[in-house]
Amino acid sequence: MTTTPDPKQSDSGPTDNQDSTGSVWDSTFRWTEQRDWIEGSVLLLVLATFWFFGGSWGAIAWIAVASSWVVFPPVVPVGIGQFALIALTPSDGGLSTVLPGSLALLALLVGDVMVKTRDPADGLLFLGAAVIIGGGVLGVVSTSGMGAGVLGVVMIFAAVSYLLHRLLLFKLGHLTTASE
Amino acid sequence: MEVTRRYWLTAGVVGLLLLWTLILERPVLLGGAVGVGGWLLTRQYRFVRTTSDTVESLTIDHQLDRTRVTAEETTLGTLTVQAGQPVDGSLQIKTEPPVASRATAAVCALEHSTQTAQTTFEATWPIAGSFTFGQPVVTITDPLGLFCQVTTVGPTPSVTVEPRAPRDIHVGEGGDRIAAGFGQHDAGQTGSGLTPAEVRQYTPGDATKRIDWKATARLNEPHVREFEAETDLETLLIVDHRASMGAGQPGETKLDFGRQVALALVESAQELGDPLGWYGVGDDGLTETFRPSTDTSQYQTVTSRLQALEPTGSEGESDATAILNPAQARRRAEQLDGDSTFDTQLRPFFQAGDTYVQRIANKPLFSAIQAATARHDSINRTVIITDDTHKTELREAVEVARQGNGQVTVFLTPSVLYESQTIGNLDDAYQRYTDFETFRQELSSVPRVSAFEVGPGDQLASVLSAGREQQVMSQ
Repeated sequence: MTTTPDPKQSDSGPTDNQDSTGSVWDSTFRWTEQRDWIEGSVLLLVLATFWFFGGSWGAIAWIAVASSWVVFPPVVPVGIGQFALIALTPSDGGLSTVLPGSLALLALLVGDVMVKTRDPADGLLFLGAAVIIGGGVLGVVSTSGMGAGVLGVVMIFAAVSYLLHRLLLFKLGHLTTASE
Repeated sequence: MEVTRRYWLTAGVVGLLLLWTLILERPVLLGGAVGVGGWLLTRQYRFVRTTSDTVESLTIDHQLDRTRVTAEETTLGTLTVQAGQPVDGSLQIKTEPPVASRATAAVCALEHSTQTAQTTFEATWPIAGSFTFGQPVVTITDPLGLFCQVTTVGPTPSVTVEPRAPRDIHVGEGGDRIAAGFGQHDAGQTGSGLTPAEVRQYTPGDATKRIDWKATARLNEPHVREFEAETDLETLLIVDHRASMGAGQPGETKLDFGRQVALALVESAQELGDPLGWYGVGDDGLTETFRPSTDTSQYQTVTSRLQALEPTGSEGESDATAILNPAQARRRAEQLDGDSTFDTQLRPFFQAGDTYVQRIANKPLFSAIQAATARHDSINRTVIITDDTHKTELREAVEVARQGNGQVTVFLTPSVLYESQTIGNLDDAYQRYTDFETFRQELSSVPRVSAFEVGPGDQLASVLSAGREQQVMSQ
């Protein structure tokens, strides 16, 4: 039988059928080899905000974020950046104190979406979702406390994710009745 | 939609940020969780959108080169996939061959910018029946490997697998088919019956009720009308299923062709109500013994046993070691009149005339017919189905079978028509067929004996065609 190459079907994703050591590393940890200059330039924005908040400590924290961006998918540097922001900003600082840093990290994710999908609509969608959900959650936090805000985030993401899952099944015709 | 380990790792980052939000009570971490979670949802939404669009634009062509095959044959299939738009991520299409086939699943893959892929596959069909391929299974994965969706799209080709059985059965003489071998048979005598045969002059002793008054009035002398006698043709069927009858392709062996003739004969006997007996002859002697009977169960049993009949034992003796009859032995012995070591060593073997009788008597077919004629002296017709491997034995067996007034019909499967190398060397095959035909004519020339050839018609046509070409070239 002659076939085109059979891509491995596993949780590791579609880039697994590359057999060099570097590709295995990319497949396992980086997920993709694509690193774009747009995302790189966003890192400069992050550097500026971190330098503003922490000076040389901010630069050191940025190095950690930038290194993780090179090595890992964007969610990891964003997570590390969030913890760095906490370390760099005073605990009694208001939302306005951390907002520039948070937006810079958010820009890292926007850049990733824009670069990977090449579709501005997806970037706008992400930005809109983050702003609306974030604003709503902050409202909940200010009125009902941090616990309610966390619960709200979990419930919103779980519900939307499940609805998207069902939407795909419906579009593919796997759901024949509404009760299924 | 299925989520992958990568998805859960990303969701874990969101969970970690939320957990530390509660521990540190810092809303900045909540913002990070919203950002990463929003990124994940955006990815999921894009996957939903592109997947449904991709599946809608997919054109899958799943075809087989033949939809009707014979068991154990192999078909060639093609799976062609065309996407109406570049695939976002990766797409894999896998065929679902029926369980009854021996085929590995064919896989086509589209990666990123590719929009067309094609693959071929082979499927072997060992079991007869109708089988349908499952719809090709399409697996779509997003570019980052966070989500995966499996669905089925495309046609489901079907295959009808016919059992291997002899086709184009030729029964005839010298390459000419006989139109009908069985059916109403002429008893060859007059007696009580319904079919008028002749009108003859009255002779003293005839019953007065048999006088045909119309004929008498017309001819001015008393006449009697004769009718064709209605008799049952008691038939003994002898089927040779020794190892040599196993020659040929699976499902198209000598025995398979002979079996079809035997089954037709059983059916004919049942329709006419003729008593039918059956003897099966294997390498070690008789394997089946059914005395002639008109019981319905007898016909059914014989039919089922015939259908289950398989060649026995190992390949028997070839023509090279065939038994010579006494006349042939004498002729050869006369040639061994020298004093060489060769002649003196071989002469005793050819001079031992009684050995021939002993050896023939021990042969399965000969002894089976000898036993049958001894047990059933009322047999009207003996039908022998065998091949041309044991010529001397068959000659003697026919002689035994035609003793009395019985008719003997021999159906012979010429070995040359069942060998795979026949097509490769048609000139030699024609020569061997000519030898067979000589033997068949020799049998047919014996009073009350008819001999027919049974074999694949297409193979015989090829051999005869080669023979005609030989004749044209020699002229």
